Amino acid sequence: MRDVIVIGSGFGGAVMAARLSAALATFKPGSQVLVLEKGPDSTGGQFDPRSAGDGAVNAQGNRFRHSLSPQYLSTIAQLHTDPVGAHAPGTPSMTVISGSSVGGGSQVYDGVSLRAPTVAFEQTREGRRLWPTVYSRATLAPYYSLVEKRLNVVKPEWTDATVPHWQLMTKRDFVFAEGCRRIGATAVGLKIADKNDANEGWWNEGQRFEGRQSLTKNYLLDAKQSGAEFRAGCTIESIEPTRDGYVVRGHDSRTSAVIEEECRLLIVAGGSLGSTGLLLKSKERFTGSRDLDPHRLLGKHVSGNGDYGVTGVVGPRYERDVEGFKGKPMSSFCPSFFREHQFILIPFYAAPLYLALGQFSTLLTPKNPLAVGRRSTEVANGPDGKPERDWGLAYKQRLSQFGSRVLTMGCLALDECEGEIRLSANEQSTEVSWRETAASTEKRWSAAVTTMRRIYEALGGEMYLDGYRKEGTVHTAHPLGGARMAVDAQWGVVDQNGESFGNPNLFVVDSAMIPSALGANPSLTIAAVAESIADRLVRGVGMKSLRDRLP
Amino acid sequence: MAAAFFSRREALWLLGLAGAGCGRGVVAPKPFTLPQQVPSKVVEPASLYGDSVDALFDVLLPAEPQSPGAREVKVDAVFRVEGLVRLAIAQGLIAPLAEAVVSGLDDLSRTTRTALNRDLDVLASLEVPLTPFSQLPRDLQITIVSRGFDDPVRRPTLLVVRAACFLAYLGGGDSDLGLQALGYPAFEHLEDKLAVSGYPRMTNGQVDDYTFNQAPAPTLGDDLTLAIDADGDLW
Repeated sequence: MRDVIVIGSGFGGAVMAARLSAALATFKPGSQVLVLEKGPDSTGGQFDPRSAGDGAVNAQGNRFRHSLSPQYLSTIAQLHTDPVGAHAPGTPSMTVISGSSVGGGSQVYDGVSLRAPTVAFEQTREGRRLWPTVYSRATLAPYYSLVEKRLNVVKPEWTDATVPHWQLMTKRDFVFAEGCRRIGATAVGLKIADKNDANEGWWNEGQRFEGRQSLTKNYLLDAKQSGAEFRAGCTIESIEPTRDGYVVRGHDSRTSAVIEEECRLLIVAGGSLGSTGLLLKSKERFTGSRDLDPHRLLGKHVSGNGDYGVTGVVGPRYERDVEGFKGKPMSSFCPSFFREHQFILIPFYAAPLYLALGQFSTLLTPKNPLAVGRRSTEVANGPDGKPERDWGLAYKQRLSQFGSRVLTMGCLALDECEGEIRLSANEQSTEVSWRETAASTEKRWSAAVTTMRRIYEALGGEMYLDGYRKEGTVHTAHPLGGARMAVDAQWGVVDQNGESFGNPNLFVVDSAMIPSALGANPSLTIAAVAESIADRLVRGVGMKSLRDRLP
Repeated sequence: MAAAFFSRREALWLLGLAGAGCGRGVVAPKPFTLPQQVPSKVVEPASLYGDSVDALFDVLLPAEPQSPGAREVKVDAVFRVEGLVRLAIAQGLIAPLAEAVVSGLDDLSRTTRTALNRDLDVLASLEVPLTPFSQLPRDLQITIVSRGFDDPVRRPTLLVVRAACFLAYLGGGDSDLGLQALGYPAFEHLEDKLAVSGYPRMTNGQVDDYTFNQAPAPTLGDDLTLAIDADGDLW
C-alpha cells in the first residue's frame, strides 16, 4: 500500500505533490508520492525543456520546441459542453476548456497571477459566508507570496528604456490603454508567471520558446526531485474506500493496462470537472456513514468565473498595433470598474485560431464601404448575388484588410455559480450546463459588455461579438466549484482543508473545492489555497498531521 | 446557433439588419474595395493535386502570387491532426456540433477524407461526366463548394476543412507564411538565436513605433488607489 496518491497535476495537485513529497522525505524516507495524470507528458519526461532536449536555444536562454503545432494543443486541452443547451438556440449553455496533461491548466494558461480581491472571499448566500473563515485575502497573503516566488511572478514594464523587449507590455496593451483612457478608465500591468519570455506569443498553443512558467518547471519539478513518481496517461475511473485507505482504479490509456493502486491518503486534484466527475462516478461506492455526498451537492454551484469574451476591430489609426499574434497573451488589465461593478477587463492576444473564432463572417464585406466592420451595415453581396463567401480568395483578402486590426478582450467577474457538472447518460464523461443566468451576473456582464463596446468605439472601431447574447452560451476557461468546501456537510462536499466530511484522508484540493467566483484569474488562488492546506496538514494545525495519518 | 433555424444567408441578412440599426458615427477608414480581376490572379496547379480533398483545400485557401495558399501553409498536415474537430470547436473555429457529428468526424484524415473524396467526385461528375473534382475548372469547383456550404448535410464537414485551412494560414501549424502575408514578422530567426517579437517595430533599421519608450498617458479623474494595491492586485 502506498502512503499518498495524487490524482491530477494542476495547480492543486502540483502543490500538494511537492509539499507532501518534501515532508515525507523528512519523516518517512523511502515513502513515495504517486502522481497519476490523465493527460500526456508534453515535456517528454524532462519537465523543464530548458534543461534538456535538442532544440536551439534563443537569446533569452529558452529552448525551442515545436509546441506550436495543433498536435501539441490537441493533447493538452479538453472541451466540455452541454449537449442539450449547445444545440438549442436561445437556451443558456456552458462550454469549458481545460488543460489535460502533466501540469494541468498551467500548460494552457496565460500566466496571469492576480490575487483574488477581498470581496471575493466575503461573498454570501442565504446569509452565510461562502468561504470558510480560515480563508481571506489577508490569511492567504503568505501563501500567495510563496506561490508568486515559486512561479516567478513578474509585472511587465510599459517602457523600454531599461529592460529588454521581452519584459515589456505588448503593443496591444498600449492600444487598450489608450481606449481605456478615452473613456475615463485606466489600464495597468498584469502580474504574470514568466521567465524571460521571448515575447513571441503563442502561449495558448504552447510557446515555441519556453518562457511561460508551467508547473512542470517548478512545483512538479520539486516533487520529482523529492522522489515523487509520475505516471502520465492514466485515466482513473473510480475510487473506493477500503479498511485502511482508498483504492484507485483505472487504466493506462496508452497500453490499456489496468491500474489498481491502494493508498492511505488520497488527494483528488483533477480540476473542477475532473475531480467532480470522478467523485460522481465513484459516489455509489461510498455508502452509509462514508456517503460522499449526503446532501447532494456534488456537481452543483459551478462558477465560470464570470468569463465573457468579445471581439472587434480598432480603427485604421491602430493598423497592426494590436499585434494580435505577438507577445504575451495577457499583460495588462483595467481594474477601474471593479469597485462598482465587480468586473475587470483584459485585452488578450488574438490567437491565430481565435481571430477566426467561429466568426469568419466578422470579416465579410460590409455594404457600406465606410463601415468599420460587420455590424455597421448590411453585408455586401458577391457577384453571384449571395453574401460574400467566408472562404476563398476574397476572404483571404478581407483577412488582410481587417486581420491586423482585430482586438480581443474579455471580462472576469463575480458570478453566482449558476453552472452544474454532471455525468453523461452513459456515465463515461462529464458534461456542464448553465440553465439560467442570475440577475446580478447579468447586470455585471451587461455593464462589462457596454464598457468594452465603448472602448472599441473610442478607438475608432467596433465590437463584433457578443457570443453569450448571440448564442446563449457561457464560455469559460476558469471553471470553479463542483465539490465546494464549506464549514459543514450541509453546505459543502469537503471541509475547509479539502477533506471529505465522512471520509478521513480523502482530500479534494483544486479548483473543484473553490466555493465562489474570484473576479480574477484563479490559478494563483488555487495554488495558494493548496499551499495553505499542505502547510496545515504537514504541521498538524487545525487538523491531524500528515505524520499521524501515515504511521 | 442561428443557423439551426435560418439559412446562412438569412442569418447574415438578419445580422446585417441588426448591425444597420446599431451603426454609429465612427472614424471613417479608407474605402474598402476588393481588388479587380481577382480570378486572373489565381494559381491553379490542378495537375499537382493528390486527391480531390487536396483540391478542396486549394479552393478554400487559394494561392496568389504574393500570398501563400493551402499547399504553402501545409494545410494537409493540419488536417491530419488527431482530434482536429474537437480542437477546432474548443478554439471557437466552428460552433459546437452534436457529439454524433463530432464522433463521425474523428477519423478525419482517413474515413472522412475517403468519404469526402467520393462525395466531391460524385458532385463533379454531375457537372462534367467522368471528371473528378480535382480536374474540374476552378469556377465549377467553387460552385460545388458554394452549394456544399448551403447544404446542411455537407456543411459541417466543409466547416471543419475550412477551419483546417485558416488554422494553417494563421500560423496554427508550423508555417508562418500566412501570417507574414498579413504583414507580421516571421516566427523567429534561429540562426541569430533570436525570437522575433515585432516590438519595437523597425523600418529600414530605424525605430518606427509611437509607443517606443512611452508609458500611456495617465487618466485624469480615475483614482486607481481605490481599485488596486501597490503590487497591482485588486484590493
